[in-house]
Amino acid sequence: MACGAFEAALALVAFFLVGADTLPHFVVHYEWIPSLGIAFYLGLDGLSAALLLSIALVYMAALYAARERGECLALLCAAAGSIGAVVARDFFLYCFFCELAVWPLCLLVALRGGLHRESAAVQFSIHSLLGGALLLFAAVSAVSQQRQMGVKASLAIEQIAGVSWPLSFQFTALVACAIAFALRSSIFPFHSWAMTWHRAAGRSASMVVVGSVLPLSAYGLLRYALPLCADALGAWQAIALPLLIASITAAAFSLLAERDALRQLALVASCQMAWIALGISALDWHGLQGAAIIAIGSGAVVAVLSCLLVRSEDGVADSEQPPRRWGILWAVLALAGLPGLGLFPGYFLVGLAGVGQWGWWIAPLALAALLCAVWALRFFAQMGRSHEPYLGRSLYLLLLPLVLYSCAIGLYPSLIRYGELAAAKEVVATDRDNEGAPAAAVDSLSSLPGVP
Amino acid sequence: MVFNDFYPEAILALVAVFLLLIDAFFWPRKMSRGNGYLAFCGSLIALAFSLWEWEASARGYTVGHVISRDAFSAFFDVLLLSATVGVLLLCLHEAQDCVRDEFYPLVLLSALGMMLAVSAVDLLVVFLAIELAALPLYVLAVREGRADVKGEAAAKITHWGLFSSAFFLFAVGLLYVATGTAVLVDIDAYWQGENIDSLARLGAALLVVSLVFKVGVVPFHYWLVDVREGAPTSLAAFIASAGAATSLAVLVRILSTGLGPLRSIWSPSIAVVAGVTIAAAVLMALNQRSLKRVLSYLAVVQAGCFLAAFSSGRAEGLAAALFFIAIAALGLVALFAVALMGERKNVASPLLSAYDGLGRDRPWLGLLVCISLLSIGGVPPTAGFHARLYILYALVDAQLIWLAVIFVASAPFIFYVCGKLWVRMYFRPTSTAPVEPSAELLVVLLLAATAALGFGFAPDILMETARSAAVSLM
Repeated sequence: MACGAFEAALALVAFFLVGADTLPHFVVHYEWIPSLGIAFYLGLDGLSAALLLSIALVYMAALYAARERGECLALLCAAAGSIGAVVARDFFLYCFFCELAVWPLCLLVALRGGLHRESAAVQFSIHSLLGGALLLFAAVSAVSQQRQMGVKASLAIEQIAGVSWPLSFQFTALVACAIAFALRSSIFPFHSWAMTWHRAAGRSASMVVVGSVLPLSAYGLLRYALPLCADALGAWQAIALPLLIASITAAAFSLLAERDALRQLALVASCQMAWIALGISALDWHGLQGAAIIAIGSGAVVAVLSCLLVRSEDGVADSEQPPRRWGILWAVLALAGLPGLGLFPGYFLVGLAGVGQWGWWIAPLALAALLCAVWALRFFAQMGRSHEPYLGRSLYLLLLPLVLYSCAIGLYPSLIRYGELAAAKEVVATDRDNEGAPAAAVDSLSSLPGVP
Repeated sequence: MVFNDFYPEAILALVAVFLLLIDAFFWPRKMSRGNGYLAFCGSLIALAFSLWEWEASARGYTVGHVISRDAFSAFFDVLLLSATVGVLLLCLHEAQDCVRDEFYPLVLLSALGMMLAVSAVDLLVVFLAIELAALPLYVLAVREGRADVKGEAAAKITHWGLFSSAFFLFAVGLLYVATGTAVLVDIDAYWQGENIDSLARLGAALLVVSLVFKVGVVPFHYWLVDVREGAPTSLAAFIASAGAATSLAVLVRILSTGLGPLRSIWSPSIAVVAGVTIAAAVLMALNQRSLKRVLSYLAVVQAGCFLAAFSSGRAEGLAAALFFIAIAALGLVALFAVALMGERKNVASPLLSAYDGLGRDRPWLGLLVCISLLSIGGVPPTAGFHARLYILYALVDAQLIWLAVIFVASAPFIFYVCGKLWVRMYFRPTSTAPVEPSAELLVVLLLAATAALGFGFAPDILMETARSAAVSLM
């Protein structure tokens, strides 16, 4: 718990220190596997600092909710992997740290999980592993492609954003990244592992998956996959957008049909991930902003909801718990997109991007939003009727920073510094104008501190 | 021939002969473990000499036109001796209940044959070296195998081993008749001429078939799996690690330096064989319940992965293959040590259920086993992850996308196969007869885990060595 609090405090300090500067801070850079152009390259910018803070707060609460020393150890290992993935500025390093974050969670559920824990751990690990293998495939393809183009191979963020990738390569990378994202972030219909996971996992492991693992997948898509294959995404937009809208709508319908609260949690997280993918696929600056807000905000909101749900480990119900009920109400309303509660700016910006791109798609999206609102009210009504076990005042207090952070994003979306999204923005602009590699992104490569 | 060029081989031969003499003149019951430690020390000294001679070997020279000392042979010498050291430790554990003094010299002689085979550049010497490596294995499988299945294992290793040797010899004969030489460089020059005899083509085809048979890739894998199950576990570890590495090294040397101009023919064929091997072997491994069979099938998958990287036809691909086989061999020795732990009397091969609850009861032992499993499964931060990464890069770089897709798709299945043991160790209640590791087995597991993590964090140390070995050959 002390480690978690220290980590959150450091993340908060880093968040304020980074400021609105577009260049990364606290840069660490040295060659790790030079033959493949892989560097141990770490740094923190506006976007990653915002995500880091959210993840650190989730881990702080999860560590408090952990019941045993072994559970804490596994969570700390997972935290190391998650934080490494956020601060990584090399595609390979990101994949490496993501894998490191997954295995302690598998072990945790395997050892301390509830019903169907074996199935949950195996499904989660296989989905993660296949997703990770596909991301690695995209990474090594990028290295190979750079060699063929006569460019010094590197998987650093700046290089990925600066190179003009051939379209044929982009299609390959897009397929690999899209399937990897769908598998790892449990997008409908690849969400079955998440439904098993949330029922089997304890409170901490469930919180960490929705508050850290899923946002990290979205972060990877935004940060590495988009600059790598923006042109291909533009060419396949007509396929990607309907698929994602169908995914959101299907997940929303399933939410209404599902009775189990923990399985609903999996579905609502799946819905959020599809929204993020939709914002990115719109290839619009507003869509990217919306995707970043949902990625960071939904992690915090769904983690709070996950923490407040009743689990078999909680024991006997004692009395009504006002903090718990209010917390659930806040979370479901935020997820339904009530203005000021965290996710509304994200939904709004993604919707705005959609209207600008392709007018009619607002209709199924509006239907999905309506279904989510109905689900939110029904969910709260179900949760509010029963007496629930007391979670402890400290845990409620530890969830408060997550609530406040999420509300702050909802009220003041500029809190997330979009500096590093500039590269992605320019990729989008390039995609529209078809004018070759963005000069600013190339310039930023040479001006980075610590980059030779 | 100069004695200086063969210090490691000479040490192995001397220790083996010395052990045979001890066996002949002294009562074996009192010397069994002492002999084992003597063999272990001998192979350690040979390993030290191999490392010491590395620089000289890496410069590359030929001894009498039949043995080549280059970085490639030096790489495999170190690998084979490391595997032999590990296997001798397994032998020491396995020999606690019985007297098996002839085991140690035969293992040393087999290792000697393997070291000569990977260095030989004359097909007749290759044949002799392979037989020197194989005959002790036949003897050990026949004499030392588990009572209920040793007949099958002994019959298969003898029959199919001799069958492939006959093919090899026949192919060498055909090539000699057609080209007038058995030296690989001269045969390579022959293919660049204009008048190519059809006998030479037939000889080359038979040569490749016999070597693929020895490697044990699909569809020639079935006999090796049964042999590894029926043989004593330490011998099975030796065959799966050092034996497989030797067969692959010989195949690579012959294809690269003897059949180089035919690359356009054999390279796609090897790629197809590799793809089929990876896909089929991993599917066959899914339903196995015996740990030794699981490991045997994983060894077949690893041979497929090695050939996949080699089929890229580039030095970088071969370097990836060498990195991979080094890590895989160490991981397999460690996991065969785990198999040895679970063995009981009158049980041919331990089932996965023998390890129920191991991770809960002995957390540190469970952790060591887990690291080896993760390395074989290709999970970070172990070296197995980097091994798979390098192979994936080699395939993508060579535009073998279909093979890369098979390779990537096999990853979750391999993990599932490894995960079955992991699930048993952590999910199931403790077995009625818990495993009892000896100090020797713990040393093997510790060394393998250290290597897996060490090369996982600093892969370029091994990769640079593998690269220099690959460049010396291609």
